[in-house]
Amino acid sequence: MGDTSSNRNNSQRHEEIVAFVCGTMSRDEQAAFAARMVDDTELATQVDAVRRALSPLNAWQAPEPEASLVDAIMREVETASPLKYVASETRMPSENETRPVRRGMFTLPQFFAVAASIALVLSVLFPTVQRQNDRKFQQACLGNLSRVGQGWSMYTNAYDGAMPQVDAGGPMNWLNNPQRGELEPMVRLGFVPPHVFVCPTTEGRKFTDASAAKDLAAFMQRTDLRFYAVQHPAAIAQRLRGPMPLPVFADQNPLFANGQFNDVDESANSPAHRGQGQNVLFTNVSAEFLKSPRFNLGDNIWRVEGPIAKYTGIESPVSATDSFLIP
Amino acid sequence: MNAPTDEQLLAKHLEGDPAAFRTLVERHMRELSQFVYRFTNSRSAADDVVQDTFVQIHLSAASFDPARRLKPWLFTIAANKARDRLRSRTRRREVPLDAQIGGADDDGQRFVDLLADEESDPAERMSADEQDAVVREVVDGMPEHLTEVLVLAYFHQFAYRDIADILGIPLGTVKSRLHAAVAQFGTRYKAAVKDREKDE
Repeated sequence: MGDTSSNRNNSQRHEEIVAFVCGTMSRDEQAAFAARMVDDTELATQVDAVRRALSPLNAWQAPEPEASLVDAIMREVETASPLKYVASETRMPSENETRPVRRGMFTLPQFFAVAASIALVLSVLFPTVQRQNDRKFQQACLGNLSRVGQGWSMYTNAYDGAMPQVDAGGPMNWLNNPQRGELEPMVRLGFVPPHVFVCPTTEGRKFTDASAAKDLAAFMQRTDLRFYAVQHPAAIAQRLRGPMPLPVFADQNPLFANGQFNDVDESANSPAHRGQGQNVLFTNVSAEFLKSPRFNLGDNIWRVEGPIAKYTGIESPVSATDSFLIP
Repeated sequence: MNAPTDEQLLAKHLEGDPAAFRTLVERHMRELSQFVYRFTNSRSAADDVVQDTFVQIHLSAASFDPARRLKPWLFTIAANKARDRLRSRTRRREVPLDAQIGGADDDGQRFVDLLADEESDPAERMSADEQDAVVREVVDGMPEHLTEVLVLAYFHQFAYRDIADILGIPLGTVKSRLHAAVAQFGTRYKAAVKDREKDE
């Protein structure tokens, strides 16, 4: 407790030193900080050290832009006038355009013919539209995972290499107590917004980032949303420095739904993308859509190695090559 | 008489005053160009991005909220365009997660070491041109998200809140990134100077 408070004070002190040296403080803040330095010689020494460390930046020259750039910009601006566009969008409609159109009546055979044509067109278009929708969701989901990866990377960077899952520690049953709850600090501290932890294919999404933030701990434990599965901490700890990238977040594991074990075939993909595959984020911050759950010499990312009839929430990777993504 | 504010100039431009926009360009072109240059390390990129930024301001002027300040908006657009430019040029500076974890590369520890450092600037014996070259080399090796926050704070003295608005990131993230950027720059610069001395 004492250490935490001391770390926080140090961190605030460092932020103030950096802000003072960079000149990003307001005039009043600067004056107050300078007054503190008079009484606190250690602070003054530290400010001096940061100032010395950053002083080489003063040698970093940037060329002056050519004066002709102003004319070039003004020429571009004159040829890119938004006013013409606005004028065409907001002009008054002419009298002809506003006159109501008289519509003719359909006969019954004509009506059926039109209905049959529409049905035919829809039957041809439906699979295409479905495919486009699938692709759209896959891309949106991939975008979410990339943001999770960036946030995770920034979190570890900002907190001395600490990773939320690995450093949470302690015994746990991940089926009763989803491991993602340990990721809550990443959201609370603003590294990622809550919604990016949920696949966009989740039906009837009844939350916003603002509503989730009100009770973040409860939100991160919800089992009715398609939260991304997370790598088991034991696998991360074992494999982090290994040569192969490790899956660290992925779509929902098909073995678990609503906090329950759900027996499915070994080749089953995540249900998130209609069983076509799953988006996976790796430790090297790359994300991709895998059409099979097998990766890295045949390891199934949804299961631990070996035959297990029923998962109860205490299983963990059994070897250095075993990857296991849990709820 | 006080010079018109940026926001007043933009309002005049919207009313059709042709001189107002030129004044805006002349007022900010230099600072914006230097920001983009330091971010992209390219003169041509700086010219292109500055030009595109002002065109974008012109095209979106009607949507500008006059209750806000124009300058952070200018830098937001420029930073986005500069990032696009960097990404189209090359996908550089992607540091794998596993390279950032623990060990001696830790920024928190680096910062503490930096505070305790009483050595004089090792580059004092170098010429200004040599120092410039070393700084460029060091900054070029730093991740993009740290460079941009360092440049905005050190060279343009934006308040943390403005940097958060410009980069579209939370205030806490600005602080931690700047902290990390200072620590990385300080230690990398020192190492680069020592390497150079060894080579000589």
